[in-house]
Amino acid sequence: MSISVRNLCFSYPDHPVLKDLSFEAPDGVLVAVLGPNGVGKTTLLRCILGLENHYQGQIMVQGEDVKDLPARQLARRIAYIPQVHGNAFGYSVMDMVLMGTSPMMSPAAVPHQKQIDAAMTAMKSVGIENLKNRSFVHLSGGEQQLVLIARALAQNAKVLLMDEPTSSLDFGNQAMVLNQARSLARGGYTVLMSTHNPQHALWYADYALALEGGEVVGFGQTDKILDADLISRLYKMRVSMVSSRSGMLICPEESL
Amino acid sequence: MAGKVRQAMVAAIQAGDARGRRVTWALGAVLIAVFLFSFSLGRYGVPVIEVVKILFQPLFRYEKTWTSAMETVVWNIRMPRILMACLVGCSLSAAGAAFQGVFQNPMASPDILGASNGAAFGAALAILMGFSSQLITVSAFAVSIASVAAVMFIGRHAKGNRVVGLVLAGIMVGSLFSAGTSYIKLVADPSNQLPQITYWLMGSLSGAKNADVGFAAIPMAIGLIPLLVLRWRINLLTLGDDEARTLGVNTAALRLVVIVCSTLITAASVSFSGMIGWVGLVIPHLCRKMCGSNYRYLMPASCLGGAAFLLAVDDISRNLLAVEIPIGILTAFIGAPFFVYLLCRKEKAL
Amino acid sequence: MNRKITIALIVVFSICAALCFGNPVAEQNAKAVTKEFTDSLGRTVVVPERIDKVAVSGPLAQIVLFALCPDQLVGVANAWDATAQQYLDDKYWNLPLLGQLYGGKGQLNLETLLASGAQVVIDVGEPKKTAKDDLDALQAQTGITFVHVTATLDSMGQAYRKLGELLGMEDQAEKLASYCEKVYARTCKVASSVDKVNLLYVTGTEGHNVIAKGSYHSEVIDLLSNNLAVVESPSSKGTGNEVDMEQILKWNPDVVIFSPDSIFDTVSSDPAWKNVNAIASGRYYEVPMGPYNWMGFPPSVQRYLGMMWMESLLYPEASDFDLQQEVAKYFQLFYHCTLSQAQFDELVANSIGKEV
Repeated sequence: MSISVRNLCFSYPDHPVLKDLSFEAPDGVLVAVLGPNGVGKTTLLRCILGLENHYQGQIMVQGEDVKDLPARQLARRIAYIPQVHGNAFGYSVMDMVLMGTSPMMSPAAVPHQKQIDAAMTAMKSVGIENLKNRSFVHLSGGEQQLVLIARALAQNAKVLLMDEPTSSLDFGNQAMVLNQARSLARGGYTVLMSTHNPQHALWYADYALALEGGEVVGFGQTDKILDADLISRLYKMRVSMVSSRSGMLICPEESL
Repeated sequence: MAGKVRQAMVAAIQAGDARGRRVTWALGAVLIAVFLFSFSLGRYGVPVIEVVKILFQPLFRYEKTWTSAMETVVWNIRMPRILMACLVGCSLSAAGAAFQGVFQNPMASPDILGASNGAAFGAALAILMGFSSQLITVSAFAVSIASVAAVMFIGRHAKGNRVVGLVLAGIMVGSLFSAGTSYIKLVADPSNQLPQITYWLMGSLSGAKNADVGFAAIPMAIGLIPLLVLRWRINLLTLGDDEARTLGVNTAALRLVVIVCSTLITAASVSFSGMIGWVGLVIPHLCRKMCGSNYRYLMPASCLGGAAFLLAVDDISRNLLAVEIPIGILTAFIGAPFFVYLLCRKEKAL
Repeated sequence: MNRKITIALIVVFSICAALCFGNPVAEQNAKAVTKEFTDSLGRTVVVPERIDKVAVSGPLAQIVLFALCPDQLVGVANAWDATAQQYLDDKYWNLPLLGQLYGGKGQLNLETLLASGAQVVIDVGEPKKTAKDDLDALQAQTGITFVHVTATLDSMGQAYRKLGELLGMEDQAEKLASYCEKVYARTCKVASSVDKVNLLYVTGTEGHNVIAKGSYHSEVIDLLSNNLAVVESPSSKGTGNEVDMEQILKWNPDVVIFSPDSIFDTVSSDPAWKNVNAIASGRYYEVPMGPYNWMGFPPSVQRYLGMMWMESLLYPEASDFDLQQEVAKYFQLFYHCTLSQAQFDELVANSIGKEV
């Protein structure tokens, strides 16, 4: 099991967020984490990434307890692909992707040929090697997201966590990034991706993890569990599912 | 060996690093040129040929064709002054670059955590107590370190964003110390101490002695070497805490090391030279423009550029008029307009 | 790359460190006839028998030494006040500006100093605690002799004799020394014999600053008057302690003297000030200014002018000299100029009583 979460509870000082949450993600799948705003999707990712330490329960990644691993060891197992963000510093794409190689280097080292090769491979696998000398901040949102994916690949971890990768992208770039995520899963990576859009989960994800009120209300293969009832329950709206040539479409009806 | 070097060169070019490398070498060359040229500048006329002979006298044992006064000027007045300008410029600029990374903000400067205000208070207090010039330096250094320690302590206990907490604590402690300095100026004896305090606050490299250079070099080396060794890692800090952690960086430890080292070199600089502003802001910026944001090149470029810049400004400070112009005033004259320029062209990311 | 940088840095810093311990020290070339001189700090230095180039460390020394050896000065520490031009000979007025020293650092450019050819740099005044270390260090660095001669209001005579010994100008120094001692003794005698007037010395553009009793600048006032400005912590700043109008009204001095940049000109029409006894009775005066403030900014030897002025102003029946004659003599001795009637009148225009 790539990711296994058991009885995870997490509270901020003023309110509980995650309540007794358990699931197991097998190797080589794309898992979509679904749920309304504020349900704790990001908190769940943060716990798995080792950014929140005050939780109860157990999080195992590739058989190791996250709590026991120092940042460097953890970074060799899980890579994080954040939302596209601005950076006040003008790094080149190459600089940015090279930062993914840091868990494999001593703190005093600077990147050498080995790291540069790793970065080039990562860029090639998402098809952005021609961007390597461009400035990161001058790229389009979709390209930036690809750079962040390449950075995660350069990190050489088998588990990838994506936080709302499509949130600030246009329609075409959304499809491109999601396709990329799916093909990474096909290539053996375990990808855990939070998303606002159940349609994306339906189209691209192998598994769906549905959260409501900090609890798991559904976990399993997407096509089996993600039906009109679950979506209505998660988003408090009536939907109907329409079958089409390219899969199921989720169509909103009038609000409940 | 040659193959390895070649490989490294190829690698660097592949990474699009050629520019960073070129800029660093060029700045090194500029520094050496300004360094040598500075020896020939001074209010006391020493012919260039004599300067060269005096400098290389210990190696080549030239016949003495110069006066003792010339030797005094070159070895006891120009040499310490030039070395001190290089050390201070290098330190302030490196500290500025490092703090900009730690605070993820290209507008950060070496005194963001109150190091300069602390040093000013320490120096003013020592002058008020009538301490010797060595003790003034020691006191400035100690209070500077103490004020940053206080800022770190408060920042640690502040709720919310760690970086914002540190910056706010820095502003608070800094203003506390500058109020203290104002009070000392109020009660200081106007004929001796007040002008001395005022003069100290303006920043000046005058009065640098060879022994001072030796003492300043020690803390500066202790601070600069780790900063240069860890320079590539500072890139990761600019991504923010969470992202850096997921990239395997122990952010708390790295940030602590960078802050401690930067504080050490800032404190050492301001305690010897007084308040010299703007170098730590302007030079890293210029270097960013020239060689990009990658700290792998930005850090050494800032060191070399800072040294060359302050040395050149100090040459003006000691040569423009018969009386010394405090260098802090000159750097502000150059730095402030540059800052305005930066503010006005914000549309493009740096 | 990293290792190379580390090594390069270590080399650079070792060179710096080596310099600090192994720099060649300029040897004293003792070709001229020399003598030993012990300054007021107990430092024994070797100076040429004949000194004909002297630099000063600050404005205090500048005023003292200008009286004794104007032709030996290689420059001035502070630019002369504009009012000084009419009194000074052109060659003195045009002396180059060298800047002053503040402790170890300062505006004084050491190379300019060396280039001036000065054989000795003289510091006059009350010694700072660190004076000895500072002067030793400067002397070691430049190879020029630095000396300190302590001078206060009551020891000016001794200071001049000491300077005379250093510069080989004992006769001229003795003239100045005995003059200072005569004036000081005469002033003290008068001060102890008269009933002192209640007085305030007011400064500042609002006239709300007073030179408080016991502060650094109040020596002359405290000696010759009953300084009403008694405050908890006398400020030693040149602008004195800030007080409000109510406090001034409460003190209600019989005599007020204003510093040259204060509100002397407008005070008589100020409704609040009108109620002060001194203003109502017309007993308020402005400190004469030229070429320096007579009451002492900086507190140098020109305070003797202030003493004479206050004495003849406040206690005319006890003082047995003519102010104009004495001031003319002072200008002759200390500024090397003949004071004309017009110049004297201008100096004391606001200072010896105003028609009410």
